[in-house]
Amino acid sequence: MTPLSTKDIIIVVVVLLTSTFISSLASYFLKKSSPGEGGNKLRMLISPFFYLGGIMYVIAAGENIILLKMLPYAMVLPLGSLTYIWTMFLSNRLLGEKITKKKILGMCIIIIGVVLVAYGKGK
Amino acid sequence: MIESLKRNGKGIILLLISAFSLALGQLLWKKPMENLDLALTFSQGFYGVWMLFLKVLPGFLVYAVGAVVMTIGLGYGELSVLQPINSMSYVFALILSAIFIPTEKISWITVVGIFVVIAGVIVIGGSSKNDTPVN
Repeated sequence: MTPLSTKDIIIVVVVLLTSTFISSLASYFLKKSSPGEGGNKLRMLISPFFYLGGIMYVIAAGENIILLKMLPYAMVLPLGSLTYIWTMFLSNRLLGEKITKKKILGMCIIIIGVVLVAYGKGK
Repeated sequence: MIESLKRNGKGIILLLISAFSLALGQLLWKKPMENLDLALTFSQGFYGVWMLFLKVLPGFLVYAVGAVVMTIGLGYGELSVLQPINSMSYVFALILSAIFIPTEKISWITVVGIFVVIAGVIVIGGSSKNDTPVN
């Protein structure tokens, strides 16, 4: 792979930030369409949030393909973990979920694990 | 920890199933995508597109089931606890490819990474509502 130009780096950063944010927002919409405890499971299939979430996942996946064309897989995989950071932020802002030390610790451990998995695969 | 597993338990199990579907869908798409020749596909007209559709259909159906299971699962707990469980799809993908594509080598660093991811999921899954927030 050739070294990235300044323009490429800007593209990578923008695509990375938007794709992880969109995929995190998609899971928020899926949660919104979720029937929850005792809810009618079929109702989610007529919820617009369910399809909105689905479409956003497809967009994020498309952006991921762009990233894979510009960066090696062993880098794209761990960078995708940014999604979990967005999710922690969004679920705090939109759903009032607490950000706790344990959640941050768990997230950091997962990200280290994903980096190791990707590093091992890139060899 | 027990309290959290009780509260998020159903969600954790459903998210694990959806992470597995994600990994299985990826595996089902691997072959058709690797051998994909778009020029050839379109030169064959409707027949080519139809054959491509049939090839990607199994993976797509598995993904769709995974999305439905994930949506139901997210109703059983906090998003910030359940969504990171998606990372288990990397673990399932490696296990599946070790079983079905034995020629693909897995390095020991990756194996260590798998256990680290699992440890992280356990820490997040065990986070309690009574934990003090940092904000």
